[in-house]
Amino acid sequence: MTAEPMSGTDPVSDGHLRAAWSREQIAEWYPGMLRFARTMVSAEIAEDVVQETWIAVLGGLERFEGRSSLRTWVYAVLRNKARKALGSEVRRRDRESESLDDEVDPLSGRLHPPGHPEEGHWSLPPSARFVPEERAVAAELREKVRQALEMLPPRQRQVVQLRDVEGFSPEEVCELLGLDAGNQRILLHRGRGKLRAHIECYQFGRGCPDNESGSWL
Amino acid sequence: MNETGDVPHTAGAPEIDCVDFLPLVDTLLDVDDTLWDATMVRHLRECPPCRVFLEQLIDLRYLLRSSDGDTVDPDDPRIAALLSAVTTSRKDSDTDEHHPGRLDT
Repeated sequence: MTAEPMSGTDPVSDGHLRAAWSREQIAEWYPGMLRFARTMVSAEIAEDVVQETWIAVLGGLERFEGRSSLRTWVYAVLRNKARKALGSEVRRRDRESESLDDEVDPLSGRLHPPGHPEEGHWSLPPSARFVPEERAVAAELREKVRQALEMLPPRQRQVVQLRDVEGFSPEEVCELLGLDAGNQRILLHRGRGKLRAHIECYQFGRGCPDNESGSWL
Repeated sequence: MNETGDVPHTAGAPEIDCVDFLPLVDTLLDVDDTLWDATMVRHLRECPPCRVFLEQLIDLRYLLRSSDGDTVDPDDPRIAALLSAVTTSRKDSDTDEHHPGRLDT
C-alpha cells in the first residue's frame, strides 16, 4: 500500500506544492496509479495515461483547490485521462451498474436454511485463516490473489483495488467512482466475498463452486 | 476482542446469528477493533466460524496490500521523461503568452 507523501488537505500555494514533489514521491505513487489505470484501460494504454496524468498534475497544480486530498485529486485527473483515452467505451461501462441481483452468492449453501434446527448458522464453516501467524506468505498465494482481483467484475475490482490495495477511504472511493455510499459498500462486500471464496477453494478445497469453471470469478 | 486479548464491554448486547453478522462484517475492517460494535463483538466471541471468516478477510486484505511488489525506482526513465516533459511544457508556456495551458482535470 502506498502512503500519502504529503498533506493535500491544507491550502498550499502552488509554489510550495510543486517544490514538494520529488522523484521519490512520484515513484511512490506511480505503481498504484498504474494499477488503477489498468482497471479502466489496457495495460498498453495505462502507461501513457499515467504519464499524461503526471504531466498534467505537475504542470497544473494551481488547479488543486484543497477540497479533497491531494492523492484523491491526482487519481481524479487519472480517471479523467483514462476516460478520454477510451472515449465512449469507458463512459458506457461506468454508467453500467454492476448487476447486483443476478450474482451467485459464494456463501449460498454454507449456512443452514430456514426451518433447520440450526437455522442462521454455518453448515459448512470457513476452513482456516489464509495467512499463518508468522506471516511468511508464499509468493504463490500473493500472486493468486493478484490474479483473482483482475478477474472480478470491473466495478467490484475498482472498489476493492482502491479500498484494499491503495487504502482510500469509502468517501474517497465514492467521489472517484461516482458511487453512492450504499453501492460502494455492496460492491466492496461482493468483491471481497468472491476473492475470499476463491482463495478458500484454492487453498483448502472448501466451498468450491459447483460449476464448469470451478471458480467463483 | 483486540490484539491484547481484552474484550470490550458486551453485556446487554443483542444476540445475532451468522446470517445477520455476515452482511455487516465489512464494517469491522474499516475501524479500529476498540470501536467495534458490541453486538458484533458478542457474536464473534460466541461463534468461532465467523471469527475465522473475519480473519480470512483480514488476511485477504493483507495479501492484497502486500501484493504490490511492482515498485518504481526514483531514477526510472519514465519519471525522468515526464519531468522533462513538464519542464519543456513550462518553457513553451513561458514563451507563449497566448498558450492557455488547459488541464483536462
